[in-house]
Amino acid sequence: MTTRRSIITCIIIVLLAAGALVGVNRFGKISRVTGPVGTILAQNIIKKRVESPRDAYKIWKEAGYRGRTVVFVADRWESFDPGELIPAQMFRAYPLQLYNTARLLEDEHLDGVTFLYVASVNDVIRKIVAILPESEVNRLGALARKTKDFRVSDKGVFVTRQGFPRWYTTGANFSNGAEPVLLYVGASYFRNTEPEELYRQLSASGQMTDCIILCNETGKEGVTEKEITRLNRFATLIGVVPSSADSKQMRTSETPLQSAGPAV
Amino acid sequence: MWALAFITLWALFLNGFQLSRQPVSEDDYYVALSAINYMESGQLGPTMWNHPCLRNILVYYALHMFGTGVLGVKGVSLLLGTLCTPLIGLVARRILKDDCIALIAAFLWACDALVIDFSRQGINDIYLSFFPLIAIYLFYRHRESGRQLWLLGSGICFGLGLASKWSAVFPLIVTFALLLVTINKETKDAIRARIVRYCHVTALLLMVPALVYLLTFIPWFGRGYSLSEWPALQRSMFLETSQHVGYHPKKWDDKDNRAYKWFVAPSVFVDPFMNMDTADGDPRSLPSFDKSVTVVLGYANPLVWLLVLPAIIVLLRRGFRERDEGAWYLTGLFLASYLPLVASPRPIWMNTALSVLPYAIMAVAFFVWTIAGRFKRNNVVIASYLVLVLIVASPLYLLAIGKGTRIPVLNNYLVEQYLVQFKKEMPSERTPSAPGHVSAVPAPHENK
Repeated sequence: MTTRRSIITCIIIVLLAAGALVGVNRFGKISRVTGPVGTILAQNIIKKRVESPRDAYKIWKEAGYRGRTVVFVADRWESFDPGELIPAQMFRAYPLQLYNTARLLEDEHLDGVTFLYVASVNDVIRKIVAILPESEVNRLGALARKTKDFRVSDKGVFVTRQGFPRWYTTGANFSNGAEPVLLYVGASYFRNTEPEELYRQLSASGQMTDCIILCNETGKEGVTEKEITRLNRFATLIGVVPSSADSKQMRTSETPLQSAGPAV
Repeated sequence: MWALAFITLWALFLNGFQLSRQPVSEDDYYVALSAINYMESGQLGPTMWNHPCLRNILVYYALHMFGTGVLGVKGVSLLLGTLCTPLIGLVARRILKDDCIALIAAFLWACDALVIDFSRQGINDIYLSFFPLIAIYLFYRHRESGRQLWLLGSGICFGLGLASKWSAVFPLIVTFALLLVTINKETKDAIRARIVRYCHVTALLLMVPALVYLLTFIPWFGRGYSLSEWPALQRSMFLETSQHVGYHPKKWDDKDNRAYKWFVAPSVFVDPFMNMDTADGDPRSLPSFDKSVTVVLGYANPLVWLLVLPAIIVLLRRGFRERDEGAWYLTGLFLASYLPLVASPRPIWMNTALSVLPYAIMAVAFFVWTIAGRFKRNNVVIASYLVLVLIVASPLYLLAIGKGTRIPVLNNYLVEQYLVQFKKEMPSERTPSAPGHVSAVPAPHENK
């Protein structure tokens, strides 16, 4: 092995490594699918009113969003054990009857509690930022301390589930992420918060988005006419005509979705 | 060479005997599901999400090639487990420079119950024997020929080992250290040449494995994650792995989960499971409890495993006395792979021993050969030892392939020992088994 050949090999491997790093990074980013982006006041973004979180998931899915960050606004974080959703397979004979877990969960277990998890396993979202009341963030901080991968700070709580990242924070501590998000606002959040306050916090953050879902969370415990009225006020604040009727598009961009490049 | 080929065929027979009739365990089933989830959605899980992802990739393509029969689910493990047998021989011959030791090592490996157990399962512990072994073999080919392609192959295989489980890093470090020592010796005063060669082996034995490891995460990146998010995933995986105490509480007496015990006391890997398939596919009636349970026991053969620590001492002595590089290298491989497991505060189940066992078995082969050399008729001593090993291995083989509960004298014992809790969970009636969400894996055509 000559010195010259060794040097050439080193250079090739370093270049390959650099290429691989750039390549996987770019591959990840171009896998994201987003729509036209703007602030929460922008008119060119999708804004929809739905009755249930299940409808929100369907809108995201039908729109083709992929690899996104969701900002979830509600009064509490409801937990469940995804392991219990997958049927115990007591009969396992060859040839095995296999299935895609993500599709199974979407078809049979999509509801108001599971919809974010279903969105994650179906690759619609890749991380969650939950804006919650301070008491709820504190509760989740205490729970997070019992897990293996967590960070708790004044700004909020970070925790993962099987490597999937989640942040829990308050509206006051919410800060603008580097990328446009899918914004979900549940009526339950307004139980103890005025819509003007959330509007001010989101506006101040300068957060960009391409889709805002306002959800009545019909049937959810604690959601009354008061919360719906406040959700209507929030809808007005972001520039759309409120409606508490059926799932109804308030304004939809005609611009087709685009696969996001590195600029996202 | 013919002897090694014969032992390999024998290993293939032992690993594959009635494999399609061995009931499918939950692990096997979830390995297949995890492969589909990972390759089609970039999901980690449902099983063993905290380990790297190579198994998902290999099993997924095996399912595509062979369908959802036994070869699709377990074909990769069967292949790699069987190929470990010739690799043990080839590597032992190069490290210890003796054909007889190489054959003894291959023989001991082929009939080890734990090896057989995991060559017949879908989960990836046997990968931890195979990939470092083939990487070491290619490393020696590089040393013999000076061709860097062999070293590149070695780096790739170490990377595949890392992409199976992180414990492959230990033999990688030892091999890298040996290369550095070799370079030091060969480039006494040539500083520039030394630095260039350091960079060369660093690129091939550190950067290439890291690159291979990274590339196995491509399906995960396909979910939209960027490179800056990848370290957080690795951190999460590391935290789970380093503090792992099991995914579910064990339903049986779980005591063999400390690595220091493996080579000082008889140890066993216990894997009982239920599978309600009827033997003839008749859906009208459930099988009896006894017929629906399978207990797979990977018992350490005491005639081999209890010789490991004395063998390492003898190997160390040879290293000191004869300045034998092979002895040092093998000792280093064993200690570097084993001591972190011994020191680990978390439970370490015996399946992990497969990352140590190749080096342990080579050391035992050397030990047996060394001790036998003190006798006039050393061939007879070696042959007698191997026959004794085989005699002990025979009943252990039945336990390793899940036939323990079919042995009348063992049936009650196994049920009492491991399966009492299962009885409480016995379903009263058949429930729907296969949800209607068939994946992109082609329609099954079972391998006959």
